Amino acid sequence: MLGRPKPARWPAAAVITGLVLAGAATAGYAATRPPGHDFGVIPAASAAAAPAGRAVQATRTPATRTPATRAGITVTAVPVRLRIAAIGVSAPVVPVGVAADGTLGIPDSPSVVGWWAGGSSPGRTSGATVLVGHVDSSALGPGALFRLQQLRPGAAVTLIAGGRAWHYAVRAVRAYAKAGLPSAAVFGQRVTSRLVIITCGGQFDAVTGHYRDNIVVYAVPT
Amino acid sequence: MRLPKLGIWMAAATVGLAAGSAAAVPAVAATGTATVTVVHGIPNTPVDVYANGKKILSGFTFKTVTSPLSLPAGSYAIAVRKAGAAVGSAPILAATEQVPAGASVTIVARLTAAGKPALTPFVNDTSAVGSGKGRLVVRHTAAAPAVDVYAGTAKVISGLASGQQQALAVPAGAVSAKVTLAGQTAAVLGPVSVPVTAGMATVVYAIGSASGHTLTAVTQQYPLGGMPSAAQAGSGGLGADPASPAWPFALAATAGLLLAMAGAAGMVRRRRAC
Repeated sequence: MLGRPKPARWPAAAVITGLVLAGAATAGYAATRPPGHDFGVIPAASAAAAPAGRAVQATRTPATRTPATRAGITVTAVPVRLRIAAIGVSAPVVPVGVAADGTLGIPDSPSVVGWWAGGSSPGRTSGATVLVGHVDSSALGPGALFRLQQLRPGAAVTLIAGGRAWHYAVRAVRAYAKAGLPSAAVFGQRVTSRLVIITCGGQFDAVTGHYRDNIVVYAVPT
Repeated sequence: MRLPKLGIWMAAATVGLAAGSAAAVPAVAATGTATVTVVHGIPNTPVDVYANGKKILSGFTFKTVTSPLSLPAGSYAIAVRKAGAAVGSAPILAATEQVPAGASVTIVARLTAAGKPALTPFVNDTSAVGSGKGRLVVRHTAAAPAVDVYAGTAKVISGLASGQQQALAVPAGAVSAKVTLAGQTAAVLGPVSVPVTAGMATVVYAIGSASGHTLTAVTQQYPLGGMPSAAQAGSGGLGADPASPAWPFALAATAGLLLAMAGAAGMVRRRRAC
């Protein structure tokens, strides 16, 4: 007669294997899930003694030889080009306005970035300079701001406006569901000088042809 | 010479706007400031422009449109002198005016129908138009008789006299514009391609002098609408987040848990069998 059967090891092995499998699956899901889009801290609406932006002479000749400020009169430095080396952006900029339904206009060409001409402009000590660009277009592919959501706090942004280069540093990146876009915070002008860059992102609704989110980058003059 | 008072012009235009359209949206500009653009429409006359005794534009030449100027609301003594003329010299044109907060105004130094220099202010209508549309504004600021304006082959404005303006909402895109003397078909200006941008006003100024053969057109753009509430900046879906297929992971995790439970049950049974 054989003695008692050797105690089977399979139950313990099954428990360990099962738990490892479950753990690996959970970790795998976490690893492949879309990353969050929120980074950094949005600049405070008003900060004491914020710089108005550092102007560097560019080779481009200003449209007019008007001095920047005389008799309290400020010449709007109209942005003409946006450069963001970190994500390979160098795109022309044109003015845009707002439609009756409140939607900010956007240039037809996905390779061109819009500047909200009703907002602020580089060099002003207050207000938000607002740029908007396509992430992509169904007809023409990736847009100028295709990689905007890859920007992280600290990245350098340059605007060419009024014949000069204006330098900014990214402070925060946010994804907002369009339905919950905090428009007062994004477009509001009662703030210390800042740059706000907007595109689309998040999940894509193939039925409406729109993205779920707006990606918003906040930057401040350096 | 006596000039029309800017304040009166603006008051009249503002009242007209308020009465004519409840949809007139106030400019978003910071409280207490106004936006002013200056257009030079007098041929062969480079000038310096002064505000409250300080030179704000120097060597300002025919056919030039300034970038928008942001200035505190208030009273401005505007003087236009020949380029390089002494500050104390007699101006070509002068006017003291009130500029109200939030206003968007364009001041045109121009020749009247009779060929005399004048400063003519226009209040820019910033009320929004429908999605995908822009506003096309034509301002007759030349020494020329009344004109008709064609967009393509269609006459869209009839009998516009010097000093007058007319506006229409048009779909965004390029408009082929042509100006004829009223009732005639031969173009005195154009056809020129005028870009109309959604959410923006494109203003076409007829400037110069018909008899002096200096009639030409310049354009200005300014933004329409108030504070934005949304932005649609993609239609392709290429930049979308991955669809994150959760089910394979859920399946694996469930299988793992079932296996672990089976193992645990087996261990319990063994213990009982002991």
